[in-house]
Amino acid sequence: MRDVSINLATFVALLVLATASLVVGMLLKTWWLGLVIGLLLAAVKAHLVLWNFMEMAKQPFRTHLMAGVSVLLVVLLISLTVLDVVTRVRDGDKPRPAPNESFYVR
Amino acid sequence: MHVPELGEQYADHRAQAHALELGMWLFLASEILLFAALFTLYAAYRAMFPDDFIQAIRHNTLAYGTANMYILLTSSLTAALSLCAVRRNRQRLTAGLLAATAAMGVAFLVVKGFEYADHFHHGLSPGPYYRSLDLPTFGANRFYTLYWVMTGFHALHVTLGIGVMVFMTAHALAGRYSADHHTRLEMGTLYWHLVDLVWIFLWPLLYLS
Repeated sequence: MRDVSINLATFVALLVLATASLVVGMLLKTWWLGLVIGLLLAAVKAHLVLWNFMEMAKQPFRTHLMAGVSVLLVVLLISLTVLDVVTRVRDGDKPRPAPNESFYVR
Repeated sequence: MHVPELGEQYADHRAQAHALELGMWLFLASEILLFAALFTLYAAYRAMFPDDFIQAIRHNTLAYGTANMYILLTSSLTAALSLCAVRRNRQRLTAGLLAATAAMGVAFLVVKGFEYADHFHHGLSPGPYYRSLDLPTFGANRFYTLYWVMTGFHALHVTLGIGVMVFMTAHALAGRYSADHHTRLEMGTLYWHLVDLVWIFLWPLLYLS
């Protein structure tokens, strides 16, 4: 009976979080703040689904480790790609001037 | 009681179940990597065209995406409860919950179908077929190309998941799962939850902000 009540409680929490995401998305005018909060709420929802519905809580440590490393690699992949894009020199930006000879003389 | 066949490489059913579980988690990790590539593309293009993406998101029908969010969350509950039911040897209840999960998958696809038709009507098609007069920007074109690829891949997974659920419903009705032997049902529900997990992240990125 305990697992049924855990699943029902998880479902209620997911509904509340989804509604909170919806309200935040509709009310916040600052898009980046809405995006950050929306993704944080999505991460909490995903954790609830993984931990309770997918019963990750009952899995051995090696499965936790595999899932954790997968999440870390995905976060690294996305953040490094975005970092590359946002730090590129845009068309309108002037190129940096070449250093003169005194720069190379120590 | 139906007892599943034991592979000759396994000492007992417990060892076989452990191997199947680990294999399924590895498969799910590879599926996450597939979607990770798409999320990375989305992040890169969003960083390039932030204003166009926001305009395109506001152009999407929030009601369709939100309805599908609640449908998939409910279907995840019925999938999880089917596992609770089989552990109590409630065969018919298990079959009913699996069938309800499949039905909600169909409902998801119906809503998606209405949304796709709406997009086609307004010229919000992928790549070179993009004809929107409201959003005539390159960034919006990129957004809708990614939108079609990401939601299309996801819809394909939902379709496969429905097939799995129907298959498991038939097996549950035939009494092939029991409290002691239901590893394949566990694998099927894990796959369904993955479909839900992907939509949990697609929803805020494509409809909210």
